[in-house]
Amino acid sequence: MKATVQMMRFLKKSRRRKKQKLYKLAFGVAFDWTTTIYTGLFAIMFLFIAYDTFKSMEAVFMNYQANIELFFPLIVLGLIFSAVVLSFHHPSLLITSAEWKLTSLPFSIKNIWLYALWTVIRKRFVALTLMLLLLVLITPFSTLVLVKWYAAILIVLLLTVIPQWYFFQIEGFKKIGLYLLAVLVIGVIRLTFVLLELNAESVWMLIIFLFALNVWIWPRRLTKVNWMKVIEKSDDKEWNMFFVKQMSRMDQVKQQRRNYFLKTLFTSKKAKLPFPNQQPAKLMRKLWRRSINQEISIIYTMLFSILIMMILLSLRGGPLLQGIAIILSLFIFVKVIASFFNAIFKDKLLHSIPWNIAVITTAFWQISSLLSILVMVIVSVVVLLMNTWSWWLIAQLLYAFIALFFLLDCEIERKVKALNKKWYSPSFVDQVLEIFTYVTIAFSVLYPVTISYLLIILVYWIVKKHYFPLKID
Amino acid sequence: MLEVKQLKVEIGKEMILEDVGFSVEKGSIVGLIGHNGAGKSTVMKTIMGWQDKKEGTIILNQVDQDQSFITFKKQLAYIPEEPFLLPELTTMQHFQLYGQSYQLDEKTFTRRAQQLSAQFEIADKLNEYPESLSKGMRQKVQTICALLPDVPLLLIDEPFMGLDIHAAHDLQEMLKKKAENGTSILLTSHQLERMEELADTYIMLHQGRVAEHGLMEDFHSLSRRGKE
Repeated sequence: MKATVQMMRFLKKSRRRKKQKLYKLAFGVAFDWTTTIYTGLFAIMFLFIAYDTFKSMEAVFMNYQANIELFFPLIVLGLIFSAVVLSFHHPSLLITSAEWKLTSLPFSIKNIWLYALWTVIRKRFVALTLMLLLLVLITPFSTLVLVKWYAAILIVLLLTVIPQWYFFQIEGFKKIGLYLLAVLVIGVIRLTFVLLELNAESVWMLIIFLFALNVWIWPRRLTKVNWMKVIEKSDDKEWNMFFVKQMSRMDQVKQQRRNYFLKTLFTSKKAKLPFPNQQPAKLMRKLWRRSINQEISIIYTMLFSILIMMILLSLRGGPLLQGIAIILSLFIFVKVIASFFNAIFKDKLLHSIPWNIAVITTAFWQISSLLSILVMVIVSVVVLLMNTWSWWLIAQLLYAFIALFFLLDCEIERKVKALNKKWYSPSFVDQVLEIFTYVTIAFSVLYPVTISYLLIILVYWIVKKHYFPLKID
Repeated sequence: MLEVKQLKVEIGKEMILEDVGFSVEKGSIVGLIGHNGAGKSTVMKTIMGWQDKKEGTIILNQVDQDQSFITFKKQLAYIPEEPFLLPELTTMQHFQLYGQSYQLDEKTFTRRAQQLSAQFEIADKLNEYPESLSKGMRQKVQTICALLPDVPLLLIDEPFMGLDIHAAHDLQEMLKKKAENGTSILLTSHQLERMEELADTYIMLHQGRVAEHGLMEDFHSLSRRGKE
């Protein structure tokens, strides 16, 4: 164990040095000596001002102190619940690829894991203690109360490290089942507290429960560990230096997926076969799917935002607001999807080969059409639920649907032209027509007659495609 | 054929290329020579469009890179120093991607893919993903991809890196044959002996500028004189 500790300390020291260098470089970009001195002085002044302000609010703090006691069990339960939720994303202990490489030398993973556990415990202890000291110094809360909270939160935080690690390793439906069970158990405990009118001190029962859980997990802590996932998440966390990323614009660089090797092991035989030459779009579709899958979280966020926006603006009442919700939804969708169109060309290999634009855009349309339908389903469901059903309403939705394809087509055409020509500037007619399309969508719910603008869109679209096709291939 | 005029590239505040100009004639093999950091890879990257240029023009067969990038790219193929294959595609699927991109007809594509796979001894790896191939094999796949189409210009960064002796020899012969058939080749290599055997002319870069250029024979005598 001694050798492991020495090696881990050496690793940590080297890592710290490298981070220091990076921070130094990043701070060099953001700050100079003058701004650093001013920032430091302002921070100290802020602490004094905060102390004075809090001191003058002593009565309010005392009132809070009396009331906050009631929430004590709730906060403890919240901490436990947050560990369950976090177990979906992070293993709590950091075992990066550097630590993992040590296992190929005479260092056991058990010892490395123990050291990682000790590091987390120490980190949480130091962070919470510093926070306690700050609160004791600048707030008028009673020290006794703060220490009581500190002790309880610290114990819970330390006792959730191992359960989070264990739950992180569980996959699939088992994990969802476990999550639901955790929600149920926490709900039952909360109800027990309320129904039996247990006082705040009864949280010790929760602590005993957590302790028992730790004892149960301890012999199982290193069985069925998904090391690939642990290493990937740990590397991400260890080198996810927000400030450095912002300053070096690394936040704009796409993260590579690393678990390709395992993925390929489970790839079907059919996926390995050559693509039929008669269907060139099939190969490109696979690459588009890959590109979109890498940013799937953006698609989820976009769909969720559209749903929330449609519901909220529709509930505020008025067809105009609902129309605005529709144009905002379509605008977000068109812009996000168009940005996906550019993403694929940033890949080194795809950048280095000629772009068969006809095949590339066909494959892209096949994928984005499905997403367009999904968005229109969301928009239509909300609009139909909030309005009285009529043929006009169906016509308005149909108009929005066609307009969406028109807007997307204009946007993609612009992207293609910009890829081809460095100094490309979009046509004025295109831009004006697009603005009018958005405006008419906004008013279409309030004044259904505006959908007659569809005629202009269709005529323009047909003329453009027929007489001025995109001749780049 | 390829004309590079007054090329200026800056990364941050640092000038990487300064007033670089040269041309590559039809069917000629030009060696880009220089120490590490001289700007060889930046020249390649700028021609490929990965690196933005501050000034200058790059014209290939009368097609300006800034005016019609897609047509410009159809006329060249690139073999990088480090293979960058896609993890989702097998060897054959990579060939298909190149075949499609360069719009090869099915018959020509199949014939060339079979011939090159046999020549580079990877015919039994066609349905394998890059992860299960060795680095040399991956380099072979990348090389075959670029050799599949008949393009006016081949850009090659360290072509012999990672290849075994037989494959390197075969590639050298293939490149000579391509040049005889009218393909222009711009290549960088630190293996000067191979470069001397292969290239007709050379361009020597030093600190982002063209320090010297001329016939490869002259470079040979210059380097000999330097040793004496």
